[in-house]
Amino acid sequence: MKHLTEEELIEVYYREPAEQAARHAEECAECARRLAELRSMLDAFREVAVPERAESYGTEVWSQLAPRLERPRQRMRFWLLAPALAAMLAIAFGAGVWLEHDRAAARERTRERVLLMAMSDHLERSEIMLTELLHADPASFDIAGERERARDLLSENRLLRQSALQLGNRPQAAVLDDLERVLVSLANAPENRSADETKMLQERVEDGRLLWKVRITSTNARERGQKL
Amino acid sequence: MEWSDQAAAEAARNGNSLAFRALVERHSRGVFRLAFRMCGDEQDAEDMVQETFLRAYRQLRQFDGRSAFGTWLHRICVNCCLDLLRSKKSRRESKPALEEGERHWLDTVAAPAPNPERLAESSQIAAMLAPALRELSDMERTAFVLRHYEGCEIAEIARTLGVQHNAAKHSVFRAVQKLRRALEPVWGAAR
Repeated sequence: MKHLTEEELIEVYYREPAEQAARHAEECAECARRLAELRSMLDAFREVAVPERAESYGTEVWSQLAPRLERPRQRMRFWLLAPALAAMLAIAFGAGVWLEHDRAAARERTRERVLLMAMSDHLERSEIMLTELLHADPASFDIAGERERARDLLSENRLLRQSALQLGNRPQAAVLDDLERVLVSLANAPENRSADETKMLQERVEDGRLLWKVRITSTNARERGQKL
Repeated sequence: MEWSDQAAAEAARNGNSLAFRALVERHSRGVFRLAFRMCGDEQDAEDMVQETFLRAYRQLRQFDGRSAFGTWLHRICVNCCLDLLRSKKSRRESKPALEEGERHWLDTVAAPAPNPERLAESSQIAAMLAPALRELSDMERTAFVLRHYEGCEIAEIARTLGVQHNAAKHSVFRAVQKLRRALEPVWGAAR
């Protein structure tokens, strides 16, 4: 008689669909003995206890977690923002050629206001991402999630940097340029990015005071946009 | 209001923090147990509970409701724990063994029952099982924890690990075989 292999015994123990093997184990004394040995050992593993947590544990977890959660934002996607920015630029060029001076000035203000608000929104989202990056544990940093976010921001960032340059706003363009380098690093980060590389990126953000610059530029853009 | 998991996840996705709170309160203990089995350290497990819910919150839009919320959450927890184990492993590779004073949970835990005999037996099993579990690969350990302690089906383990069905099944086999081989001598003597 052919006895059950170890794999078959394990299948029977875990009640995998192994009816024939299970029947054999019932009928064959040798296999029944081996299955009982296996069961005795594996069942004993379940006896090893895990520290219990009280009923209130979930509430404790929530109280620590809640301050760390940002409200999920309906992120404006690049494909939504791009036509708007493109339209604004088109309006800007078109205005210079076709419209009279006073109307052109009004449109210029409108265009600038929209651009500033878009800039502020973009920098605000970048600020959230940079804050999370700086506070992340390099060892367990979720690069997959951040990569997608960085790619979205990168596309917007390039467009906004070009617009800032065209408008002659060099300080704003410089901040966007610094931000772009970090976004490129994140957007192209490999799945197996090491903790050391993440740490280096955190240091680069910290050393360049990028978070502070982004925050200030965002606030300025919003205030200027609201005044226009 | 008593939310179902699906309804709470849907509401949380739309920014309802009370709904997410309900999910956290409902699933925290289960996530802790899984994290503890995976990491083998109480503090690490606590951290992984936080990390799991943070990731879940950020990825809520990716939860499509095809699997149960608990299953989806456990998958995130396993991935968090695997990230932690990998980073610890890379830090540990230059060291010979456990640091002085560092002990695996299985070296220290006792059975929950007050019965002294059972207490002694559980500690004995734990002491035997700890070094054997440490020898398993991440994949074997994860597959074993999910199959043995969480009662997951092989298909679910395969999805969690991102491997084929057979690879997941063989990881469970290999884990059990390795544990048996490692424990057989001491086990036989102890029985």
